[in-house]
Amino acid sequence: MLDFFVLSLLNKSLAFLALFALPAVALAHGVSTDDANFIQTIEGPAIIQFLYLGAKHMITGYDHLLFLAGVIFFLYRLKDVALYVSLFTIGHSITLLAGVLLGIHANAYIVDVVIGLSVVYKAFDNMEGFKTFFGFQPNTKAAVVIFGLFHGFGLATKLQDLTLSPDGLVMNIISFNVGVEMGQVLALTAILLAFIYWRPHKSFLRHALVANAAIMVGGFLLMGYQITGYILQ
Amino acid sequence: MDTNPAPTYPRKHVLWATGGALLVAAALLVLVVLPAQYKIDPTGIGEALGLTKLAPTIVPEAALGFTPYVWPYEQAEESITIQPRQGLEFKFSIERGNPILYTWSSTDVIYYEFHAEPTTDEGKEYLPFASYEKGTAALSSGYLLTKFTGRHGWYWRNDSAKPITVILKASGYYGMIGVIDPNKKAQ
Repeated sequence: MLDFFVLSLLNKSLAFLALFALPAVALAHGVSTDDANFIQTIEGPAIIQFLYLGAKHMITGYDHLLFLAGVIFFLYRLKDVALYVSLFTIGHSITLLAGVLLGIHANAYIVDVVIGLSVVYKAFDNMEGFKTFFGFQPNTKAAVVIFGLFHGFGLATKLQDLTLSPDGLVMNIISFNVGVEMGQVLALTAILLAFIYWRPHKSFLRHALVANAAIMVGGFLLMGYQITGYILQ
Repeated sequence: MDTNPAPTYPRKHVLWATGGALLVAAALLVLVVLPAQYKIDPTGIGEALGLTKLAPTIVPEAALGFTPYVWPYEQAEESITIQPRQGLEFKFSIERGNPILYTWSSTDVIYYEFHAEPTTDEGKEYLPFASYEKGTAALSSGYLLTKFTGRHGWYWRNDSAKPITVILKASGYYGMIGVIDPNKKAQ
């Protein structure tokens, strides 16, 4: 009964906040006006709503998807995929939880520039660019964790656009985080299936360079877009 | 290296791929993304493609929620008594786009519907009336920025056995119509 009361209160406060956050949300990147409306209209526990938002953010967030595609590009064994994705998850969960709980407001533009950089970095890494040009290979696991931290800050800034109620804060970010991981599993499955289909083809290695260059385009584009946003803000 | 059975490409190829990626990204950024996102269009191509229309319009300083008015400012405080088992309407005549700020309280909880009837053709999609809010309460406050010209106001219905008095306070840019008694209307 108490739970129900807390949930309904949380729901109301969220709906209320969403109402006022609407213009801000529309201007901020990441969470659409529709999602703010969604929170405003749907009845029920906020857990589900934040699960959904987390999953949706991951699946529709091309920045995270590009990075993940880069990370698993040359991971042939499922064990390695699981390991690297777990490292990414640890990285982004730390900053997502800490960012929102400790109220760390990172500049969304700078965070997104670094996220764009992470995409460029991974694509360059996949081209063996570091070995070829600098004669050394930076630790790939560390890179995934470190960039994961920035992706988490990116997630946090988006969530901070919606959540302000201290009541349900912990529950909501955990829901959002779990939603992100659910979305990640879904997105990864799709990316992996595409790779599994593509890899046996003779063209794979030949086109891998071009494919990574295409991923890199996405990263550079995101960087340019966000740098401009930072300058204009 | 513990992960990648990735092929090692010739230096030149990696350079081309990286440089190419940078060039393509820069071109897309300048030609398409910046015009569509920020209305920054150094080449004019964004304008030619109609992409600049997509950019969110930056609201000029003077329009940040501010609208100057030339109509006279109105303020009213009305006491309206509704007899048991009776209903009545209290209306304001308000032009489209004009605001009214109101609060009312009643001596007992009362059924109400805040609604409006358009009086011009441009509001005909809202015919016969548009309902803003209805419910049962002893207090209600709000702000309305009208979407159409018409008669905007309340219907109150006293379902109790005693008379209920509603004190309505309103201010804004409107013309007052006042109480519309359904009995009088029928005559």
